[in-house]
Amino acid sequence: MNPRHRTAALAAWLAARPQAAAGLALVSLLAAGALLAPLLAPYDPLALHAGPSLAPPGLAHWLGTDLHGRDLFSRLLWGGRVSLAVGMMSVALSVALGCTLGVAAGWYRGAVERLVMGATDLFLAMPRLLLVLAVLGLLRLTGTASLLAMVLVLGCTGWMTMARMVRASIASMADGPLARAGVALGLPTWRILLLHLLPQALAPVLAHATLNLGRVVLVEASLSFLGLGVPAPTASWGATIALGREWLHSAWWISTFPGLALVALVIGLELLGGAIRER
Amino acid sequence: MVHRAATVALLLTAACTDRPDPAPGTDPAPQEAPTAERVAFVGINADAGSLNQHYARSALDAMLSEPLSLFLVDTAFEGGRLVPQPALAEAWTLAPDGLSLELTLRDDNSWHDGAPVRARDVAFTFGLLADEQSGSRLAGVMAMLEPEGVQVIDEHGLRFLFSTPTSVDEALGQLGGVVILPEHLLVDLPPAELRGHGFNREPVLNGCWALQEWIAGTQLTFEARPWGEGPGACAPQLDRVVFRVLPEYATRLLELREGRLDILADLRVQDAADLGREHPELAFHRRGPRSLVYVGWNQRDASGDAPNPVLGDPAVRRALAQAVDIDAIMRDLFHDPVSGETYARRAVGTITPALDGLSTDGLDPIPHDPAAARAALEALGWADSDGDGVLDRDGEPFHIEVLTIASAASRARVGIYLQADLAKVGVAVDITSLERTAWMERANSGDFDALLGGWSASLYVDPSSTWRSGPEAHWSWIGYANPSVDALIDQGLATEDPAEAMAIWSRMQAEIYRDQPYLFLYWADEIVAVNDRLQGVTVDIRAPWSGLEAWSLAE
Repeated sequence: MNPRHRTAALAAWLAARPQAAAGLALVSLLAAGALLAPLLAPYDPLALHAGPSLAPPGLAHWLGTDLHGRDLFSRLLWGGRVSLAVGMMSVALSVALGCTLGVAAGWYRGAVERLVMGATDLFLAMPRLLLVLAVLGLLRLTGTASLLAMVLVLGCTGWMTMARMVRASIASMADGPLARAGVALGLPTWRILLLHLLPQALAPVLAHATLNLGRVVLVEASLSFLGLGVPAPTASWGATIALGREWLHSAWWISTFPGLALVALVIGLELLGGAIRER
Repeated sequence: MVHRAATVALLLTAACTDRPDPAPGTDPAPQEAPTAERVAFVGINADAGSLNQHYARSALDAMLSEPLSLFLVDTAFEGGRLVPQPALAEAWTLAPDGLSLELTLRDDNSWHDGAPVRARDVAFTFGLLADEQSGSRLAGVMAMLEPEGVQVIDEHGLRFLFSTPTSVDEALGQLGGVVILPEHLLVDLPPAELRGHGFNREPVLNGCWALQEWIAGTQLTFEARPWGEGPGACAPQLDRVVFRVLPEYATRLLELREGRLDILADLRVQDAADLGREHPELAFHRRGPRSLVYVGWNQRDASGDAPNPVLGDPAVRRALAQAVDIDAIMRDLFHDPVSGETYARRAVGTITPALDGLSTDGLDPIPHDPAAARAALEALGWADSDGDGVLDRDGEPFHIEVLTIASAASRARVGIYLQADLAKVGVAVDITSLERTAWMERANSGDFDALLGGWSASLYVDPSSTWRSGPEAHWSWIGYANPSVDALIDQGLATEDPAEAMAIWSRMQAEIYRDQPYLFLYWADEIVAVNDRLQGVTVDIRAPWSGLEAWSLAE
């Protein structure tokens, strides 16, 4: 399908599913704000005393300022980069792990399958947030290392459902005509799996990954809220919500706007993911 | 406590069902109008850990457990110093040579289970302190006593024997802080088991208040327990005081606004100003300065045996002090634009400026001068050789990890300023926020670069635990050692005259400030809000709430 046809098909698909269009619009808006933060942010998100302390939303500071006079609109844009980057990298890692393990379990069966499915059940039995809290608490990393650790931990605790989906699809195709044709043609196993079988199993995985992205962003916000996520003074939605909870009565704007952004992103991803899954 | 509640319930049931009928021909007894309970509500930010002061885990534990005990002596803070007042000990006599002190105990005080308090309870308590296995945090007091230095004279008479001559104020100041424990309940318990014993959660003590109920994470209820007659006896005006555990500051504030809390401590300046305008029923008391916030620099290396190659150098520490704009921190966090007042002042030591006679003359705080700080660091061999904005020396970047306690929100805010100010001179700072126990573990093990911490200053000056060299300094996590300071501590502790002692402490502070083992930030005043429904509340430097027996409800 050439690009023009693809775009037309996507437009038709979105037109038939207004909830998917709304979800895509929300996610695109927030992603664009995050990507263009260096251009759009009127102030340095880390600069103390960019404005008066605890200034309410106004012309000079659209979303107000925090106790330290930091501009909250700038911090919202830059914080979106962190939330989305952590979320996307974690989900990419989950997809990679889930697909690799699912393919191995579905194709080789036997001991490999038992091992992978056992590990899947084990990870699923553990509460994810608690596991992530424990690992990050034990690692005691700082700076960029703590960000990378968070990506790794979130990615390594989100692959299980995808592994199950892929295993089921690959297992059902392992004895099918596509696989038999590949073997008959003498194609190497990796090529049969990677280029012919896996693409057939990816649609539900993508739907799940989209839904998972919203959940990972929420976990990242929760970790930052608890002080275990993005290290200060880096802007992040969760950390800003945590900062503002002490000021809910007198400076409601500190927590409200990153909270709304977080809700919008999660709703957008849920709408989009739900539509992809139905497809 | 459950047993007691069950007993009370049974008695009430019996009273309702088994009341004898009035004799024929007599009027029935007049029905008493039901009396509304007189209850006060106090907001606290965390649950208690232990209600036995010997094992208090925090300043909050110590404050909460105080009303449960009658101490040997009470203290008043008068004229900038603690003055002993009769409490369990109603009289005392110091021998002319200062080596022994005789106390006479009240004969009308009893334990919460009704057993009388006797001199042998005091001797038992000090015996526990002398036993290292008990692990009491109050054991330091034994250093001033001879071995076997507590003698029972008679049922209510005691004698303390001191290893060196001492003054009445010093003796009572130290001995008076020891919570007396009931011998008849604990005598059979191995001392090593006391720390983890249920007694610490359901203590039977001798104070004006007894623990009625402790719902973990929710509230502690103290019930009035009057005892004795005449001066010094206990006659509380309230039936109960409920301490409500509200970890979220916003929730505490809401409960205060709605009138569901009568007392709330540690209000932020901005909130106090707002509340003052909107809630005329609230009165605000300024308390302190007793709360010191500091950054402690680790002066030992990772092995703990050698000086820290970076922060062990006083010149580096002085440069860091120049780099941080402490006045700006105080302005942002503690300035009330309406009244123009700032509820904090620069700190130059760990002795609270509230103590009378303490002089900081000639001890000017290091001025904020980032250019001079950068120049000083460059003179010490630091340079930004790779242009990444962070100074480096011998290939090592100037990077400091500062540990702070997650629940101490105000200190987390200070961390933001530290990062910004030190970044301007090329020092990278990471703030690591830890739970209190994790923070303590790393502090105790020396596994840190810097600690962002706070002290609630003692009102009785003994800097040994913080500034003395060697193991006696229980709280000197940073490994500070200075023989001149040790000598001044010895001299100050041996000086009886308070004015002379204060002059020595001032010299000690100046010596320490020159070394900058801490980045001394500020002394913060605490704002305590009290609803005018509750009267008789005393807020002073000793505690945000004290003298609960004097509290009453407005008509």
